[in-house]
Amino acid sequence: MPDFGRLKPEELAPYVSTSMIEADVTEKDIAEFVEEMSRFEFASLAVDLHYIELTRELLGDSERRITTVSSYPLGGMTTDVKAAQVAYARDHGAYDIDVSMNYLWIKSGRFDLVEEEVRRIVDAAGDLVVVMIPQTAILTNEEKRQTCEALLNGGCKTIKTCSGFGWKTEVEDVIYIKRLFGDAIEIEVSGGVRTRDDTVTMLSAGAARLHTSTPLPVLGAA
Amino acid sequence: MSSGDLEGVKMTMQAGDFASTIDHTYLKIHRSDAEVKRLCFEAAKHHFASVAVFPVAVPLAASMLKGTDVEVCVALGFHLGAYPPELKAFETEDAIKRGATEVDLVMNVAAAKAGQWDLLKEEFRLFRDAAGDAIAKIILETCLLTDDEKRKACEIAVEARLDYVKTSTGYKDGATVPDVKLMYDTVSPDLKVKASGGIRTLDDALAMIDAGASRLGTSAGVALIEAFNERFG
Repeated sequence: MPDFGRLKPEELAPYVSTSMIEADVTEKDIAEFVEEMSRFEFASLAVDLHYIELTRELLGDSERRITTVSSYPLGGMTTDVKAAQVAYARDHGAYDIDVSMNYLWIKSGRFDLVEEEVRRIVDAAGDLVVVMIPQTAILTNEEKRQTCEALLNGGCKTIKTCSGFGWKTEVEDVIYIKRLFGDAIEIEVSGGVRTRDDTVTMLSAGAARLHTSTPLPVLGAA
Repeated sequence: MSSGDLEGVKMTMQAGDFASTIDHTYLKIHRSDAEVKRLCFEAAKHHFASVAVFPVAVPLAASMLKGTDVEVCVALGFHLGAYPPELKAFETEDAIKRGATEVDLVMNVAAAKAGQWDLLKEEFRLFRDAAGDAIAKIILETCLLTDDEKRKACEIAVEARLDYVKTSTGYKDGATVPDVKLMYDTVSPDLKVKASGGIRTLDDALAMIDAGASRLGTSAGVALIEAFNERFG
């Protein structure tokens, strides 16, 4: 593992996904976003479903990856709708998709249903990488463990801890999941990562990637 | 606003009429069946217009509310509304198939911001078709729009023959009296207006009704009806 504290902004960028996800983000905003973010080699650019194609077009020859989202950020959609969104993302050029889960099932201990949903989403995804969002901020440690097990059983190997929008990831959550599952689950952190110190802390604890809508302070670049 | 400004409302409205404006709403992350059940019991007891939940809770709400006069309202596109019209149409059909009788959908706010009115027309048209006989409410997220954008979106909703224009998701700033008036003036008498977000007190609720709202989306329904009965009962 690199000594993250010593990495320069451009060396940290490949560990960071930068996002432009909001209700009122326009095509013009996306164009500016793609332009501004070309300064660093970010892990991916995250956009809402209806901007995948535009982002791909604007990226031109760049091989920068596109992340998108499903049932985001509240997780209240049915499996059929999530699967349709996932299929859309797959067909329009996204690299991976962050899917909010059915927290009603997690909170009522229905991990059989959680597993079944993940399996259906992974099936619909084809080559698209599925990243499920357990929303660690609202789960007990036992629920985090059982959720991760259900995700693995269902064929998902990557999680994004929280959806952001006020839900915050604690470094203890990264350490806990890492301790239980080691390299079997790749952990992406989202929610409350604001500074370069946060970034270094999360990566040093075992996170593989961070998500942020404020990339410059996260990289330590002014 | 003081209650004195609401004398007109007081004179014309009965408790039952007031209750029938309320969409009894639970749009936090759904965590337990018990919360959905409580909402349904309360809505049936007070004869609210509907119970409003996310799609994952629609089958439970529909089975609980069977045989009551309470509609099953579902919140779609929450809360960003940032995906293509076909996916929203699919989501609408899916929710109705599971038992929803009213559908509240977040519109493509960005399209309105960018003046992509044809895109909005297409979205509203597909939403109307997918909703069929269900009550179709389109959510503008007014706090993100200029008055001209609100008006234009309302006109497109009228053209598409939707049933309601609705102010807010509740995840950003909520309904305001001027917005409800603007929407009512633009869509009445063809469509109705639903005010939602931030309606906590009886004065809030009555002000919205006075401004032209026929429905109120709120999680404070029980407290509101109790306050109504206390003041006017």
